[in-house]
Amino acid sequence: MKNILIAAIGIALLAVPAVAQIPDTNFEAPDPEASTTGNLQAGVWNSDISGNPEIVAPYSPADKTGALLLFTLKSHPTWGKVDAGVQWLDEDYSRSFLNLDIGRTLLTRTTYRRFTPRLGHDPLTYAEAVTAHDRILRHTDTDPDKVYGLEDGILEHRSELQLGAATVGFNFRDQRRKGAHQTLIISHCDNCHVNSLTRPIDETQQDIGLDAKVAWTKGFLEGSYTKRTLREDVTSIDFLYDRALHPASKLPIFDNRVQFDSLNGPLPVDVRQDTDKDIVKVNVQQAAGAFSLTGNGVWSNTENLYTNNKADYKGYFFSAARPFAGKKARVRFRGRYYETDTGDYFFDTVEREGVAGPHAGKTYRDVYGIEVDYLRQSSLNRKVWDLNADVSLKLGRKAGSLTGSWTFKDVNREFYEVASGETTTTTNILGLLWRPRPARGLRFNVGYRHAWVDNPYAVVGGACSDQVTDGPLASPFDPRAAPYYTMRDARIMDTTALAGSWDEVKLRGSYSKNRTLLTALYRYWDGTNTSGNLTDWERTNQTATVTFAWMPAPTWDGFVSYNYQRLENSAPGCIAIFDG
Amino acid sequence: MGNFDLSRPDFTERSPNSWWDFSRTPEWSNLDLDGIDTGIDLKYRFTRNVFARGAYRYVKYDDGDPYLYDLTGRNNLLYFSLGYLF
Repeated sequence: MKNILIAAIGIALLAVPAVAQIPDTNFEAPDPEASTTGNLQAGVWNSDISGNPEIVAPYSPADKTGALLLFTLKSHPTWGKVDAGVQWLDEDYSRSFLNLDIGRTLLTRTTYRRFTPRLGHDPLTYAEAVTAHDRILRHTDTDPDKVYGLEDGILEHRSELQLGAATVGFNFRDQRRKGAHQTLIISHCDNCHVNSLTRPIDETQQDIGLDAKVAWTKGFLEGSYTKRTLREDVTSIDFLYDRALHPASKLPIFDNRVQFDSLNGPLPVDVRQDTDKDIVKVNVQQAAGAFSLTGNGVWSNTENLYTNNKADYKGYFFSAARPFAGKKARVRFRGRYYETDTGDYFFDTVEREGVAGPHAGKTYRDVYGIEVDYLRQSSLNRKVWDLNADVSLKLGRKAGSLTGSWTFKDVNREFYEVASGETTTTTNILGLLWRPRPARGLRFNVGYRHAWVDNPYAVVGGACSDQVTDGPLASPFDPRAAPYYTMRDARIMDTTALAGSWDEVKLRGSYSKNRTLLTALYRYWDGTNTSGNLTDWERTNQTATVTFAWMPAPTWDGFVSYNYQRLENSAPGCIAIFDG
Repeated sequence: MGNFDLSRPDFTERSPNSWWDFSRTPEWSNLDLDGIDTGIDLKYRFTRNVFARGAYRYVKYDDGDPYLYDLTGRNNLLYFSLGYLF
């Protein structure tokens, strides 16, 4: 999990500049009055990778040389407008768009993007261990040289028919992902055998929607319906689990400890389900006196076609804003409420009987007397309030403006406990933002926010068992040794990656003069968590970006950018082996 | 930051009595990540319509405390193109 977290953070740190700095098509046409203008570029590019490409080239082709093609076209024929473009760097990395305006009545926008998300390949080298009793943790990578990743293609289209005060729209989105990812399957229980398999991915997600909007002088009302489908062409792969053996004797007599093993033959693993979703949205906006009012509602229903389990979502939003003090100040309030409800799922455990020894003819339930069937209830079921209020005040031409803000979020879960007996997480954030403009061409933003969280999301008892066997015992399989499930129940650490309090400082400045522009941004974030049992950790994240753009002569222009990210985190953790 | 203490004071004292090795149980899990993404982009116009463009971009990512495997990497990118405005 930590590796996934690292990869996600790394991609988040670098993905935005990675996309932004590929040469773009933002050139001015030489003659904006011309009826047709455009830009054509052709050239080459080269990427030289050292080390791991997962973070430094998360979506783009790398370590190769290729051709690049950039093309944009804007035209204003008598019947409307045409706006089109292509950016092509590789057969798996391109973007294109086509926008049409026909008689200001029919507007269409179509975009298509291709990119290649890289997925990690865990070498599992850490999954090798043995205890004094010959208990073994081992791994098998069935495809050790495989490079995991996806070919991702997204087509989006919107057609809009404008009929006076009314607008009718048709929306279509098609996303296809094809490739493979790494699947880890564990066999037990004579040893923990982690198997790494290549799992093909071939999925299609489509959105088809209609919307309508009616506008009047001081407001509008719009509604939409979207049907979303997710289909998997490869729904699972087959895997033959190891035979269940007694950990000490290595004899096949541990049948009642597992629900399935090699006796069941190859079984489907990493099952990815088809899903349907219906989404209805209503949005209304109205000016009332000095107030500007906005409200909307979203209702959706999602069904897993494999289990027929369903999830309902209801969400509502309201906002109001008005100026005061002669429009030198503004107060704004935004509130959001939503609730989700996912049905329960009964897990009917396969109960096999033991075949030898004292367990012969007995199930695990018979031997230990514990309930092994259970009802799985959704940790996502919750009611959430998200409220924001801010007040802005204009201080003057050079002093700029000052904004104070307050954010309140209350997440009330139906089942999931984030602390002992607590299902609710409450977050408060206070912020102050000052935006002075001390001189011509010089601007600053200075912001500070402080947050405190009651019961941040955590997995209670997620790690670090303090179950201690009275001893000394010659073997953990001594009848006096504690069973695995009691060791699991004795875990004492509440694991969490969310801060109980954090502070953020944001500084932004820009200076422009003649044909030069300098912008700089610095962000410092520091969060801690001391609220749970053994959760004491601190995380610091710093970001600095400097961009200098200039045009020293009519024939020259360019820019230099520098982006620096640093993240430090220290958190306690346990590596749990054989704890059930 | 160093190791943490488990809540029961006799934890480590008791565990050696068994055959289990708990000595590495209370450890710290650290993240120490650095990233740099920098570049320069230049354009020269030969005429009003014809130009050349060159860009260099350097992406660096340091995984200072690898856990499962090392994500450290470098990416040097070069772009060169000729363009025509119409």
